[in-house]
Amino acid sequence: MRGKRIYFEDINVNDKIPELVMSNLNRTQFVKYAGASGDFNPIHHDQTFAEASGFKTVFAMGMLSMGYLSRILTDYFGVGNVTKFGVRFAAMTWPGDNITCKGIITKKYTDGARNLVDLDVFCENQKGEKTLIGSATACLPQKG
Amino acid sequence: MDKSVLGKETQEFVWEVEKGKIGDFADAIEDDNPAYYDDGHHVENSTLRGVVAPLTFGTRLNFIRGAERIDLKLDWHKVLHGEQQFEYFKPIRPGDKLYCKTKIVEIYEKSGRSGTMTFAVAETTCRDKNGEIVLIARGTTIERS
Repeated sequence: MRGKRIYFEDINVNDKIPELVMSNLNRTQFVKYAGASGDFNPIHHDQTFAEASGFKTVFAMGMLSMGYLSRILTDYFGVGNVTKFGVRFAAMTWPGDNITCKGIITKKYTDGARNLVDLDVFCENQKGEKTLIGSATACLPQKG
Repeated sequence: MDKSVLGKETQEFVWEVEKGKIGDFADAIEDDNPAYYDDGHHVENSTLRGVVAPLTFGTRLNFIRGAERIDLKLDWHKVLHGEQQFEYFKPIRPGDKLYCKTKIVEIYEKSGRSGTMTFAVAETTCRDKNGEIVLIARGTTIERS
């Protein structure tokens, strides 16, 4: 959930940040993301192309899941406070899948005048498989 | 994949950031944060006022009309997105003109049960009109054998 301003003092290592669940993903969401991102690789919307590539059907762009995952960072830390965000795409996301986006604080430190926190972030499907695995860094204000 | 493109860099291209595109992108990830739509928003935990781009908006960098692309000569039936990283230095806002270049910084192979996979890492650096870095995006493309 989008919330109050978070300060460096509010954060502890091993804290979990609020999750986001995206249920029953569908092809229309993939197509909408294709239009908004510019990614028209047919493997994400064209059944014929997907089958010719050896897949049972189209699958979501990894970047769509990364977009969902980004929301838990900006909802919790606020827009403007994330300095790094990276993921590895570990498994495919299919139409009908449920994706849960999660993050856990791994490190809290200062770098010069900046107060930083590192997180492990990931997306998990309904079978408990991790589909995206990554990390992020946020720079937070101090209560002063 | 054409491995000879390692080290190759594009000409500079200009990314003109449009407010409507930011809103459409946020809508596609179903993020209703007013920071992506409303110039006058007052989102309590946002450090920034005015509209800014979502964290993964830089995915559009691969699809800028008129931008030079390095042709990896990929078989698109076998292509997967392996990794993606962003480093954020300054917010991206509507009306920004960002001056960008993409370079192939790494190409390598890995062998597994399903054969050899080839990886190419493309790094795009975007600067503002003063030459200051705004965004670095690093994407790994995989071609299955």
